[in-house]
Amino acid sequence: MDESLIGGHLQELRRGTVVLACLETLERPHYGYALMETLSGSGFPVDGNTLYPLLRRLEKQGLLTSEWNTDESRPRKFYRTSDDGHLLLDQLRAEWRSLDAAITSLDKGNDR
Amino acid sequence: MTRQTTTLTDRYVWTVTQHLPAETATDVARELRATILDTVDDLVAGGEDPARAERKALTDLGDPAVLARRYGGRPGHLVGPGLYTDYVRLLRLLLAVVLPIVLVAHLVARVLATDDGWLAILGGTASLLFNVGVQLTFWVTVTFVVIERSRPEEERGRSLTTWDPDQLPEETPARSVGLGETVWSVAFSLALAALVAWQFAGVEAPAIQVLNPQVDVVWKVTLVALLALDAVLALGVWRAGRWTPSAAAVNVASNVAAAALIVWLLTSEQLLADLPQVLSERFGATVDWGVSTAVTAAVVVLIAAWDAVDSVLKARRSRWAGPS
Repeated sequence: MDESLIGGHLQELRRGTVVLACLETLERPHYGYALMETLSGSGFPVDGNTLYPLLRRLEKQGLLTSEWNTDESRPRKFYRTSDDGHLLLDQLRAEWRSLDAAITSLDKGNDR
Repeated sequence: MTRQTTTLTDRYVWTVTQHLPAETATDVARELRATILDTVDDLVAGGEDPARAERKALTDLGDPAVLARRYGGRPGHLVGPGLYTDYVRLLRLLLAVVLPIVLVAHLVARVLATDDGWLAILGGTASLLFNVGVQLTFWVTVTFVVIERSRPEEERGRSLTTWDPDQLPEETPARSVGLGETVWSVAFSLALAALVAWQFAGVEAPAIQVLNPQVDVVWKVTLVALLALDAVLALGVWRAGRWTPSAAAVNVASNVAAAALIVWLLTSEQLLADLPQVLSERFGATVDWGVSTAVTAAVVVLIAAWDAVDSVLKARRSRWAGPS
């Protein structure tokens, strides 16, 4: 089967989960590059040119808060999940679980 | 001096942020710079040469214009999928309404108000239609691009109008050709073909010789055959129940051929008999024939074009016919 066809479908399925993974990871504050490293370490490889603009969009939507940390020699912008972000995270997580359950039951139905 | 201290990173950050609104540009620049430096440090820690590491970090971030667009939330397309259907619908409607009006108005005005030859008139009309079509398409496109760019990001992908079932076309395509229409069409085509054949054969008084019986026999036969072909086509369309694409194609071809032949015969002064002479012999009076060749040619072209376009439109409308 065509590799790029599979890749395209997998990418489409994963697209929305990046937001879920960000909100989850940012329960603890991260700066951009560290977040990308954490995500790819947990199996969510995401391009910087997608992630960095996404963080700003989520911040603009009030789902993340940010703060500049100038303690170290290199100032870094730290992001953290806001209260609204938590509410969304709960909903996304519930949706994910119900999708997983629905797919599992479809799968079982096919086996029978 | 400045040229040596400007790094690739500086240039990259500047290129990304120059098109961003001032209130976010500084913040994005500061963050992006730190991010790039973090990436470079990490690569260098992994054993990469610093200059190569910087290049790699920037290459991974990709085209700064694309990144700037993502930061700015601006679309990377002119008319997106949300607006595309409305765009095409409006464009088609405008072209279908405006172009025929322009065609007829211009032809009538040129034929009545000027002494131009038919070639000049046809050329002028074609170029006018082209210009009007291009202008119309351009301005409609610009309007939709402006709408696409000025909409808030959340509304992108939504269409302008809400569809409802009343918008479905009224005609059902399965049988769109009536019996009366067919009978009329067959009778008219055969009568016309017979009339032309009779005239070409040469007529005796008291009938009036309008067409020139001296036309080469090849053209006589071709013209009569093309006219009779319309009758055959009408029968075929009746059998199929609708205008099929191939029937429409044959109809367009036969109309173009007939119109071209008639216009050529007209302009080379072969088609008509010497009417003033014929008429004065017949009625004993001198009749001033003010009808120019151009007017006759224009009328012929108009009728042929109208018939051809009509069949194409009917074929398009019945494209999704169910049972045929």
